[in-house]
Amino acid sequence: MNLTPSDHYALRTITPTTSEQVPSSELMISGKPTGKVLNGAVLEAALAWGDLLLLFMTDEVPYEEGLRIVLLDRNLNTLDSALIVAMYSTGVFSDLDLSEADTVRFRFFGGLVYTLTLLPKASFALPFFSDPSAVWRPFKRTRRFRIDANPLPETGTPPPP
Amino acid sequence: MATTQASNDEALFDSAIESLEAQIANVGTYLTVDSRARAAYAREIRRMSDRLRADALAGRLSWADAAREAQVARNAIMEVIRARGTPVGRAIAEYMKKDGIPLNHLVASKTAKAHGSSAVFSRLTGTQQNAIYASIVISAGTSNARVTHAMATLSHVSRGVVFIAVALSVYEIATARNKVAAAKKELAVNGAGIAGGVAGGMLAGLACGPAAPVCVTVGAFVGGALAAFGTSYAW
Repeated sequence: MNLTPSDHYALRTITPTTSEQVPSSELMISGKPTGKVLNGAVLEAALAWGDLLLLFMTDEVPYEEGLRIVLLDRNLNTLDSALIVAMYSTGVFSDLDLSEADTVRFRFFGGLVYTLTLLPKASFALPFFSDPSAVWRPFKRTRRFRIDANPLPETGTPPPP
Repeated sequence: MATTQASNDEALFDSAIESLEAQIANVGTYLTVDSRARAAYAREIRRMSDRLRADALAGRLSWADAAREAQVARNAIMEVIRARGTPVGRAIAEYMKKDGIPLNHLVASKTAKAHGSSAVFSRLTGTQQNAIYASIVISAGTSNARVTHAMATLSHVSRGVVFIAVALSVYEIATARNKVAAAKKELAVNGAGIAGGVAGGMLAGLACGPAAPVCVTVGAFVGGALAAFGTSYAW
């Protein structure tokens, strides 16, 4: 099943970003408040996968940005979540690719391509050891999506003869 | 003959245990250095941002120049702080390709957020453009709260780890027959463990490249363990 982008979703700031405070926002659907409060400040993408919703949010800390990924069910209950962040490093969410079923490819930290694979049901995963560097999750033994990170292929053009 | 062999084995075992104890001091030192570097980073970028904002508000600097200066200063502070951290902390940061975000990209994204995705910065009024530059200056003084909280937690953990290392040394000294000699040995073994950890991390960084956090962490551990083991065994 392919993921489809949706522009019905937006975030309304509840607590703004500061150096001391993680930002939080309320999820809005078609301009209406839902009461669902999430950590994050800027909605980068909202993707529908069947009746589930996958959200990508950033904290609006452009010099040390973090990417929050949240999977919600139809009642807006959080099924799984992850945070990609690294000290003294920043990322830009870009190059979203939805061409493969059940899969989202995107870039965040330079030089890496992230592949998020949605799982049809909760699958076992070892906490701390099942994710690439800089991917942080709540302590849980199961997950609903997997994240892999691979270096970008070299695209340098050969030197002229 | 058998007695000599048993004595050698016991000395090897004692040295191995002491090198593991020294690793506690090594880990505690790493955590302390990186968490202090983080606190300095948050403090310095805030100070820089506040100064530039005050200069722009007082008319000593245009908002555009303040934003440009903030961009350069933020990256410079980041490099300095990385250099003040441990090899492991540096390797983790560099693995993520630490390149700063270009100013043009920041201007475009702040413009889109404030005025809609179809807004073009060059078509904004002077006041609107200054507001965009001002938000960049403010952003340059903001660190990621999630990371800062995590490092603050590590700072507490580091104190606990250092406390355990000190407590183990105190126990060793208190139960030794020659307390002065035991104190000297504890100082030497723990010092060697810490120095060996830093040297091992740096050597691993040279061998694997600085952007290899696993390799650098293993190097720091092995370097610390070997230095502590060697010092203990030679003693």
